[in-house]
Amino acid sequence: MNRPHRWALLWYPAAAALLAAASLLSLGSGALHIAPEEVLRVLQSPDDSRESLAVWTLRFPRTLAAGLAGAALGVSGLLLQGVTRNPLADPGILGVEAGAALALMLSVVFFPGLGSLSVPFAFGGGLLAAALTLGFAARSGFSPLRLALSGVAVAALCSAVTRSIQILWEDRAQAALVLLNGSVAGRTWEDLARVWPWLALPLALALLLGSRVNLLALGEDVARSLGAQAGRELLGLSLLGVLLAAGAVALTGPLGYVGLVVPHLARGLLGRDHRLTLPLAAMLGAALLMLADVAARLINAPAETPVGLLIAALGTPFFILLARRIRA
Amino acid sequence: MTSAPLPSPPQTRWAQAALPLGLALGVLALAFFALGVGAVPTPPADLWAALSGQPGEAADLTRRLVFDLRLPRVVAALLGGAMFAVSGTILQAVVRNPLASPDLVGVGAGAGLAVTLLLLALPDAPGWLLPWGAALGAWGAFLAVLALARDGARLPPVRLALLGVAVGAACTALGQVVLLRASDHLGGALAFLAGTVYGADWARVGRALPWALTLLPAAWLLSRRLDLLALGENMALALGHRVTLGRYGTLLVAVGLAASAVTLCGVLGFVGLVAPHLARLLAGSLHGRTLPVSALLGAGLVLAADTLGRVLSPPLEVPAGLITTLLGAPYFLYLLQRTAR
Amino acid sequence: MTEPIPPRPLEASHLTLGYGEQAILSDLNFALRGGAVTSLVGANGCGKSTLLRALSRLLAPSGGSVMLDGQDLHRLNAKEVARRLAILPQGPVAPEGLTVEQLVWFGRHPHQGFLGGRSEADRAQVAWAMSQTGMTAFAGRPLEALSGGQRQRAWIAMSLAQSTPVLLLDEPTTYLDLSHQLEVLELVQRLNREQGKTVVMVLHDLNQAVRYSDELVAVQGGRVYAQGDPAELMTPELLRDVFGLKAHVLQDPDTGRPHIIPYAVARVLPPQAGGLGSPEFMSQTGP
Repeated sequence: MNRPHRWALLWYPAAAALLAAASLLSLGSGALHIAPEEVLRVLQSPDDSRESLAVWTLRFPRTLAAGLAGAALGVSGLLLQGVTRNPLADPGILGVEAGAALALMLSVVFFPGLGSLSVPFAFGGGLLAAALTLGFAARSGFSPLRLALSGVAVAALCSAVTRSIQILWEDRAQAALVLLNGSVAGRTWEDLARVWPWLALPLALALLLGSRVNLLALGEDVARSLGAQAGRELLGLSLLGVLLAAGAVALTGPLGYVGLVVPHLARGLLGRDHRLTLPLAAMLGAALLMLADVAARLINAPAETPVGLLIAALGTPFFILLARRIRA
Repeated sequence: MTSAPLPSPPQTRWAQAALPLGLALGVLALAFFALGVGAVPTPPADLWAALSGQPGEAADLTRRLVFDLRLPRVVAALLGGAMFAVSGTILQAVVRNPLASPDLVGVGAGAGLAVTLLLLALPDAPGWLLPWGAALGAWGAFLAVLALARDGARLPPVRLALLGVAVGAACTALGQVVLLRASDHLGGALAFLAGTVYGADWARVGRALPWALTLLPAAWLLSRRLDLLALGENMALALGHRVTLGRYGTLLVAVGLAASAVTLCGVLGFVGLVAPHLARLLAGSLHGRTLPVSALLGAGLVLAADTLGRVLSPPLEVPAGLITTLLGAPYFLYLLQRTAR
Repeated sequence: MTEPIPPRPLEASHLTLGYGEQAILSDLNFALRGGAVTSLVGANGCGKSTLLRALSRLLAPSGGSVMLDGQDLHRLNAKEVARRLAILPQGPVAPEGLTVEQLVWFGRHPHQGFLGGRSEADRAQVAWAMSQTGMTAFAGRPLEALSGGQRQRAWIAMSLAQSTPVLLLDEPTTYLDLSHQLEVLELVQRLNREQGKTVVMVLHDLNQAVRYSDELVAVQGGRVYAQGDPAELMTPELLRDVFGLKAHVLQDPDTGRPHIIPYAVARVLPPQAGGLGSPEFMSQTGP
């Protein structure tokens, strides 16, 4: 057994424990504080107590939403970074999230009642934004900094359009405002029911494709020489990454930097083998977003801080650190 | 000497003045139109009657409407646009970077964060203090961006822009987190920081006006310094220019302009990027000519954006900053692609 | 418009230069011959460009001094220096859209006041600089529309407009094709012969340096290895020591000056810190 595998024996249980602790914390924290043993009790036997109601109707869906979105963003970032071989690739930075949010805003305002179909709509938006970003960065041979800058501009454009629509169709956009605020506060079982298949299936699929990412991460030419149909696989894995990000946006609104920080963390712990890092990124992403959400509840209690703001404030320094290490 | 000689174009003083004069007239016409637009539209004839000081109750009413509500807004748009445009022109010349603009090097967001913190600490701070606080914050953010983006002795354009955007995003997020803890009143009072001239009154114009009146002419007086700096450090030194002094002097003017503009109308995205490029396209690369043209273009651009935002779907208003971003972001992408070798 | 020629316009004594801790030139002594064309030659990284930058105030020395007409160059007012000495740095880049005439006018900056009023003398000097370099016909053209040689001539015109007795050129022929290289060098020679300009250039091509210079300064390992008439200086020994080359030195039948034909890399080299000519490097790649 080689060394990364041995480390995985350590880090997998550690990440799982972190995830469990984050879940308990997320179920128990808030305006009504519930001790962990109490949380476990009402989980096993729901009753009519305030605690049970709070856990089952408010915090459980919220925690699940945070976990699902976090895992999806972490895996999406890892896929995109591996496939583009760009350490700055992140669904937020590449404009994918802003594009998906724009599409969701359009669907809410102009095609209400799409329900579960709003996710493929968001996928389309994210895809379009990614294509724009890549198109404008293509001439420089996808240098990491240019790709990031191009993505930032595409994201700025998409969010300006989103905001304009929100202002011009104020009454109809109300529903989207809550949906797109970059937070998991107030997510219900219905929200989850609408989105979860679009997240769970691609997540499962992505975790199975680690070896394909490994091949592509060697570079397109090498991958091809090793017998991979590089172009098609590159496209497939990128689509999967975009789909995961779009699903996450449909659940929480745009949340930058999760897809940047988590993959770097996972690689730092387990190295370059995506078969090992993809599951770890999923667990870490879920735990990270849950913990950030707990912090967002507590930091300004009883008022809620949008978790997206918190992550942006903390994630930007990390991004700056990364970008500085890359030579222009 | 293979090419055939080409006569240089006639560069009379009149031909040189025609462009800024024409632009100024265009901006004036736009301003007159903008004064008539609003929840209660004012026909041009009534507007003219009110402006030319005709007596009468209707004219009085119009006068009050125009002078108290619409004129400060129009002036704010013109000033804000001109200040961002001139600031961007200076930045692009001094850091020799076509992707530079006050909102892309952290200056705008740094000023916004400083204003937020200042009003949070001193809710009754006098109006004149705001631009000073903004300038301090803007300068701090700018120096941080320069330090972060520097790669040895070089300052690569793409790196500067990307790290500038990142530092700006951090400042904005921090400002929003801080504002969450503040009273709703303060939040409402600072809503304009997102980039709009909506609700601009004479008090807000008054705090930025001294800065504009000092720094815009100062920028023009420094135009030859800018020309030299645009030739590069070595060339400027060779021609006997005190480069360090010139660089910091002009950058102080640029940061001061952008910071005080932020206290007037928030961060108007990409104005400081687009206006200088258009100005150079129209007026060439000598700053004596480019600066006034850039200022006029910036003023016209913001006023046009604001007016468009008001007439799109009244009584709803799309902030000017959003519309300038809708125009500017694609232009930025185009520039980014063009600067790739 | 001939300027009076000072006998020793530029003089460096005990000059030490370096970026940070590492000294590139140390304790260097050198005097420029007035009214002559002098070329600095040497291997890559020997410090010749650094020397030129120090002679022109672009780089402050960490020790020693540079005297311009007997005054300390680095204590003089910046514009004052630019009125007596012009330097054209390597590979200058003009902002897009700048025309030739606008560029040449920059040369008058050291002679203008804060507001940059333009006198008749300024106009005359600009016109003269453009005609000397054959750029009058291109006055209204933007620089990026010119060929490489024309562009270099435009920059030289700018330096001429400074109307200084001394002109320093850092690798004026780099990135030019051969005919444009000769075009620039002939212009330099003519300016020297007709206007009495003292010219200092950094040149890479040894045969060009020999042909167009009255004096050569061979820089090696941060020191002046030798200085003097090209005909006397260009010996196989110097080529071996300074450039690490084995070469035949013939006589050019047209000019009577030496002509160098390198045929091998010399294996034995005097010790030198780093760079292409260092023994470590040679031992890996030598024949």
